[in-house]
Amino acid sequence: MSTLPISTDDSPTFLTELIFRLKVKDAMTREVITARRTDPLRDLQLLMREHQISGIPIVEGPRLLGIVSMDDVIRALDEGRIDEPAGDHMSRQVIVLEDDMPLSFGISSMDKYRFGRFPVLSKEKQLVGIITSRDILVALLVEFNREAERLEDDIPSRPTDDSYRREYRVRKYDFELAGKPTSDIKKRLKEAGLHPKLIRRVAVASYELEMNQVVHSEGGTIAVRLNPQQVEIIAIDNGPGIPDVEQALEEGYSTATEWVRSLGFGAGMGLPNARRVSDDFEISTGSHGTSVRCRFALPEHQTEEDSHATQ
Amino acid sequence: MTAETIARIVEARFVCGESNADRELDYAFASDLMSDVLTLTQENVLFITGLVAPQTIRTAMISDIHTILVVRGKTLPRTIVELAEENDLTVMTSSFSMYRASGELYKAGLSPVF
Repeated sequence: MSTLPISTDDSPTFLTELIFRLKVKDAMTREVITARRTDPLRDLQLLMREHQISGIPIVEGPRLLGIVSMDDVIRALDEGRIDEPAGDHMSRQVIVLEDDMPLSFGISSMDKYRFGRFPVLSKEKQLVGIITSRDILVALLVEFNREAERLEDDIPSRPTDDSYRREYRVRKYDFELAGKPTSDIKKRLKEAGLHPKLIRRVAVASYELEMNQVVHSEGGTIAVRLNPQQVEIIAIDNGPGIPDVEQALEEGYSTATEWVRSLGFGAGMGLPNARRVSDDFEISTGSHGTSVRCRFALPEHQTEEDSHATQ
Repeated sequence: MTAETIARIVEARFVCGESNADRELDYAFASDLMSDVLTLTQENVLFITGLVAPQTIRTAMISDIHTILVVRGKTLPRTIVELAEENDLTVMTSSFSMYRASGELYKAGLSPVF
């Protein structure tokens, strides 16, 4: 996966949240100027001038065949081939985005490929829009403004009991930051002096639940609670819920999309892994969301209790 | 077997953590699926992968893996190298395929995890 031009670790939460919450389809231009492969390049040149654009997708019905850029037109002009059909001059290897991808993917693609524009396809592989860096900027500014207003009312709650508790927000499709909460939890448990093997089990559960929220949910929270008896990892997301929990708990059952799999996840091991490492595992789900609680008993405490019992 | 020896066998180049190349590795596990890596319980496991993503590094950290061999000649973006450095990981890359790298290391006596 290509990386974003900003560090999502250090950037304000609401900015990074935006680029993961917004989808490509929220920013793209839906009215795409297109041409057919039989159209002469000269027509495309005129279209570019008229609409002040630098690239035109070549289509057949809703299907994308290729793209002709300003460079292609200039080259054809140089070579005296401007009256030839566009189909002979188009690039066929087009980097496209999917309309459901998070906007962060659009931004990282801009950064990676340096193209001025990316055609956007639907799941059915039909051309549904086109996106430029300008589109992304506009969409971000509009949302940024809305979000800033909302944030003024957002006051985080603090725990009141004496056990250690910390909650982390997890964002949909935030693959850059996924795992950071778990790294923090791991560090905290190490400081608390827990056994490395136990810490590793907790971290595996936490990480899998985190990845589940990133991949499948609308976002949520991962909380860790540590008291002298146990460690708990509590994952609560904002939906859409798991249609068949029994199936989701089976190893290898997965509903992940192709691009999630390309990032090394979505093998259908998330919940089974989390359950395997936990001493106690509870899950409840509905359309409002899913909550999972993994409990890990602290062995020191068991020993202590045992000795209390014998006294 | 040390990371240094491994690098020699698979003709790998160190991307970061070369100063820790004398850390001993008892096992190796090859996978592009992070959840499979998370099922491991052994220590001192060499993680062989062709997946280059922040999750590669985070999965290693969570699984107490300190050495990663990236195969198929993949290059690592700077942000991923930084994440690895911050976490004291040793990362090397080899142009070998996963099959060839695994085969060579197995032949040289590096044990599988199961």
